[in-house]
Amino acid sequence: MEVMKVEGLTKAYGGVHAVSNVSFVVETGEHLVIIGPNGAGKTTLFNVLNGQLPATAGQIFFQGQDITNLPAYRRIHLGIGRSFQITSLLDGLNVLENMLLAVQGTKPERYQIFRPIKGNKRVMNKAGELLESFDLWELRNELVANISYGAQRKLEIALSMASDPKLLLLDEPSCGLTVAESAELCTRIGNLGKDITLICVAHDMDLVFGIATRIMLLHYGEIIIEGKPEQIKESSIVKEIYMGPDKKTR
Amino acid sequence: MNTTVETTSNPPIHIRKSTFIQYIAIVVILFALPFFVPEYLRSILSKIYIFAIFAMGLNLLLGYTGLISLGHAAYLGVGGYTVGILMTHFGINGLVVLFLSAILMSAIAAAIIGFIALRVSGMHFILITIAFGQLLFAIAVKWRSVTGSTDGLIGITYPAVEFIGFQWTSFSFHYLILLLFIICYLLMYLIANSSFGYALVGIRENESRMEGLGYNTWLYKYMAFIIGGVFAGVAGALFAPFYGIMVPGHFGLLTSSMVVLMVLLGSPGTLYGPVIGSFLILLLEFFASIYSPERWPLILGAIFIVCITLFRGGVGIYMAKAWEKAGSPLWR
Repeated sequence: MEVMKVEGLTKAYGGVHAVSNVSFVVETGEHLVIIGPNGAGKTTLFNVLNGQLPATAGQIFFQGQDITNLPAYRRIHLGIGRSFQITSLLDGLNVLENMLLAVQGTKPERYQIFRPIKGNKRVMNKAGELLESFDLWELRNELVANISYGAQRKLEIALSMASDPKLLLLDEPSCGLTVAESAELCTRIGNLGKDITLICVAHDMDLVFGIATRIMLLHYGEIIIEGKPEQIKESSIVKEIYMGPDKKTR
Repeated sequence: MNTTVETTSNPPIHIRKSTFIQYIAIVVILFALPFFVPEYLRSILSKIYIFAIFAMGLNLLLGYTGLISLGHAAYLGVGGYTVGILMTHFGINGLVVLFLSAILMSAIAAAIIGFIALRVSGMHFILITIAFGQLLFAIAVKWRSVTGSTDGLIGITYPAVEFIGFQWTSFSFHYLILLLFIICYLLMYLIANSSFGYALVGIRENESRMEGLGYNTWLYKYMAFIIGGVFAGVAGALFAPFYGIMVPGHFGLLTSSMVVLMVLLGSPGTLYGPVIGSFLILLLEFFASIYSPERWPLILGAIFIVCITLFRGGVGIYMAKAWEKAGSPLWR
């Protein structure tokens, strides 16, 4: 079943087309990894997909529903979770409070005005479980501004999972992680349920080939090539654009 | 100091017993104070409570949500003028009717102003809140037949309590102010610890991330704006009978900036902050009025500068720390 369908998506800043006429379909359980050099438009594409930026042209469908003009917060409720390349946390709050806000973001309790957030068992338990599964429970009372970068990255991903997304958009999840942490992340993504679809932007080739079921190369906002990891590995275009031209041909 | 270590996976959230006892002790002291202090001090206390309610409303915006409103006096004015106009022009004197009208009118004013002001953010938001404050100020000046213009709306008395025909004295009215102050503080305590309150802090910290977590951030800011306006409206409804007069200046930028200073000085984003800010500013104003009343704006300006440059987080947090060192923690 197709989870997300993108048709002719374009995002232009004045005359510059950051994303240009991009079309693709993602099926349930797929792990689509988007690669491409810096400035290829990967993060812009994510911003349009999750609703932070309006599309200039084209359409986005999620489970058959046209979501092109839905605001970002409504897309989360439909089941699109997203993590950020540049760690984006609620700095003045502690780890647990970040998690609580993330968990209740898609629950009706989020509007309760007189009931203490920490008295809500359902939200508390869910937040506790998630923090434990990401090994962050010990840090729960630390301000997020004070925890290590690696822990912040983990929390960043944990927050995007809090809404039980059907489609998860991960923007450079391994950015700034150590090799060991990156490998752990790779395992974690591999263990995601079959019903969770993933679109991931990544630079780290170990991660890319570790998790991808399909790879898409973006260059100057356009899809250059798309295919199975083995095909991409062999492709000369990918080598030229992404890994740099072969020394012999230079 | 109470250093309980949480060991369960669900830390208990209830207020610690020692904290609760301190709260009760403070309330008892506040209730007993009027019997022991001279009348002028009691009247300063009344004023401190009124402005603390006013500042609590602004603190919800400025401290918790991170929205800087420089026109918060608008709602104090709307609340006060509502009570004053109903009393002097319509002869309505019932306490409940007057207060509910003030709450309703300030909520409506905040709903209209907030709807427009929250279309924009940052500097533009501040400017629009100032503009609306000045707009209401201008109406209060020009609409002489209703507002009494710069002569002020005079003849506001203490409201009556329906059915039992109770009449207030300045002594008993002080207790009404104190009671409403405590109720407002408790409401703010509940709001600050609620899902809603935490979401506001989340928006202050990182609005786009909150949107990315599923929050309709605009709606949260709008609700905070209205609730903040209602708190100011309640303060206004107490303010008008307390002073017996409303003048256009109560809408003005000086009142708005004074309450901003109260919040900043008392530590924005804390429960106790607005109370400490109101207490310090009004105490200073009192001393200034004895020694050099005409220089009060000068002193106010100097406090502003010192506060902004030396105590970014306000003095409230230092006072709370000192309190924690002296005894067990009173506030969260």
